Amino acid sequence: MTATTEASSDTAGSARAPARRSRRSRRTPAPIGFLAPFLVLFALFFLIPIGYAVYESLFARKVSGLGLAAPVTKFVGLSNYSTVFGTASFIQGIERVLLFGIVQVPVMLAFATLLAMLIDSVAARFTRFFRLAFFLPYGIPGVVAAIVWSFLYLPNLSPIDSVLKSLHFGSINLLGAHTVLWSIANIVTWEYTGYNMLIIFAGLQAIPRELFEAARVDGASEWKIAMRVKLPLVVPSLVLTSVFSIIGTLQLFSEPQVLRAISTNIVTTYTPNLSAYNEAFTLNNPNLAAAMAVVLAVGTFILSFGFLRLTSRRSITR
Amino acid sequence: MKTTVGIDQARPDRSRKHRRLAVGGAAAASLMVLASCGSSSKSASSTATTAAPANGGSAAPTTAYSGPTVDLTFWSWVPGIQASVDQFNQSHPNIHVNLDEVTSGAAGTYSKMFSALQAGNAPDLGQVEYYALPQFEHTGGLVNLAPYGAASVQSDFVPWTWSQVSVGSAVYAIPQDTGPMALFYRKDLFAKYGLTVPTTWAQYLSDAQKLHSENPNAYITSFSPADTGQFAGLAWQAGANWFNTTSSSWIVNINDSATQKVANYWQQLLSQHLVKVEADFANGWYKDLSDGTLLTWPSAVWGQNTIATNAANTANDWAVAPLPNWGSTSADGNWGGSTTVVFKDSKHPAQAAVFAEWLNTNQPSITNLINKGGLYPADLQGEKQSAVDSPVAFYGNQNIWSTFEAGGKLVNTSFKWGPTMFTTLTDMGNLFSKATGGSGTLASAIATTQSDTVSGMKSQGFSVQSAG
Repeated sequence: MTATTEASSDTAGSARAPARRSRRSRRTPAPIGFLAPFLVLFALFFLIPIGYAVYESLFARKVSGLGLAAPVTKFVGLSNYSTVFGTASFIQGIERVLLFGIVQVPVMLAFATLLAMLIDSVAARFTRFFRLAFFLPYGIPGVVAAIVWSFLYLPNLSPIDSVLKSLHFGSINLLGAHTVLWSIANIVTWEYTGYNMLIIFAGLQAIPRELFEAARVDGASEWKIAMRVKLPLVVPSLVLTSVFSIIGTLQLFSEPQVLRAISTNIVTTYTPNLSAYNEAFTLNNPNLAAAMAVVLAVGTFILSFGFLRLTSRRSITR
Repeated sequence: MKTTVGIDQARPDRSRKHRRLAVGGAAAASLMVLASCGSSSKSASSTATTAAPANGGSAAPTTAYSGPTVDLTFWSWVPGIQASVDQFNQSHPNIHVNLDEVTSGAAGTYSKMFSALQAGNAPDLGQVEYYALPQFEHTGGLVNLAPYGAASVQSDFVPWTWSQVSVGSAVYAIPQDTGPMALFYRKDLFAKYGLTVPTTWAQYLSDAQKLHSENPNAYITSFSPADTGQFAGLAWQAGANWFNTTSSSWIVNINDSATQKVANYWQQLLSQHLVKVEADFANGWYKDLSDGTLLTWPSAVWGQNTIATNAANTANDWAVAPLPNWGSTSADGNWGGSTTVVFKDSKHPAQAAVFAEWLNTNQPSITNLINKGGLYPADLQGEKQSAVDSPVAFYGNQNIWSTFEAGGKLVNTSFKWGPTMFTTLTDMGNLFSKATGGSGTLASAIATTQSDTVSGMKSQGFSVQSAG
């Protein structure tokens, strides 16, 4: 950014301003032309599907009597939404992912920050290797990761279980009613810590090194530099990764879906996304599924932007 | 193949796995078929037209149609069904069936069918399981095949299948295969623990208790809460009658005394830790079947392939006995099976009906479905084919088929599925999961499924009465 602006002021300088003005006055459609590919795809794959989902969510298929005739699609207003909020299992799914997020997101981000700081520290060796190694799990598709972990969780096949048993810690059912959520959290943490670490690490690298030297000259220990200099300066990266993580948490789908095959404790309404999927593709109620998806999207929007507002307000007051 | 009944439909990989299993298991047998096909493929077309009249004149429309060639589309997921389609196309030059291989119904094909029906471009023919039929019937999606000679093939089929496909005099599907239930048990381990093969559920319970006191790490069987197809089969055996209709409304009776009896029975096994709670058709479960952790499996006829493929090391250890009974009445349940339907959008329902009837009554076609598709035919003559009526090496050369054939004749013919089975079975599975996870009982889950089903049907506009 800075490099280009410097270069342009050097070479063109004052000559550029009138040229730009004249181009604007001619009102060429160039900007629209350049934007068109994006706008078309954005409308086609984003705005129209969302609009269609909202539209579909306002209808329902109704039969009558024994239902021997074809169902009639009727406009039902917001009644699908009242069904969504009246469905206890959907609400439980939302509560479950919120609990998941409150625990898993801070743990993962703390871990990611720690790893980023370690790699960024002066004493670090083989940083390239570790950067790649930590990032590697993210390169494995979520479904594959979940399948691999599922083998580690299976009570009668799990090496974790047999190690615990041989150490006389007793047996632990990682797929139990109260444990399976945290087994999923473990998979998600394993998968995304490296990804978040990379973003935070990039944030750390962008901090001018003079600041650390100044702190060192003032007698700050490496620990103090990390906590008092690096951490506050890396907050924008943390905000970004938090927003991504909140979105990811609310949309939790593939891990519980894969573990469903081996755990008897993951119901078809385990997460809101699973509910919507199940409603659309198994229970053949796309209208209700659309309402669920819209509720989920609005909820994600509110939480993400709420978090952004909250964090930006804090930085202003500071 | 028919395990998808009531199984939790959100598990595409499992049904896919089943397809593979069926293919794998039939691999050896198909060599035999290929050999026999070589010699009999020429005569296939002639048997199609000559054998069928003996069964009640079903071939009449087959030979009657000689108009311009019509093209039909058929959605099916049965492995190797293409060979049957090819046979048909060869012997019926004026009807051409194009097969679209789709994923199994519960893995997404049913929702695709419903969408297509709504859009008015459904295929001519489709594969639909028994439990899903009413959902298609009662949304006006199926063609009544009675005017196209369907009634004439009624006597070809196992009686209970016909009451599943017909409503009054209307016939909405042609039965293809069935899943009569029986008890698979480890005869070596029964001898080792001194257990007697149970003929009643009371004996089954006492076997379970005896086994568990001898070896706390072995279980009489497993309980997979999401697999409501198995539970439904057991309730069916006990005399349950979940759905019925009057002239104008549905009667929902999932919470009837027979179902409560079965729910309480399994709750007892669960509470005493006599059964292992675990997801079936998963790796851990296969391991338990292989290593003697599980001693029995109340399952359907297709289960023979599940065991033989996934617990191959237990060859000669398993045997099959009739399903234990409630008291002295002999009865059986059914788990799985499917039919061929003609969808309302078909422009050639008469020709489509010809194919549906031919596919499931023509003996060479059935041979193919048995060997390549791993199906157990609903056709009575088909049940006598040697591939499903001879000793099986894996089961110590026991002719396990005769047990299933006898069971199929004891399946209650008045059991009906309802028009919202996907929701009902999914709901039941979720509630069972909660019950085995520690909140509630199977009996309370059944009661809740009853009230949820009634309110769900009402909100869709059905006229419903609750019998519970």
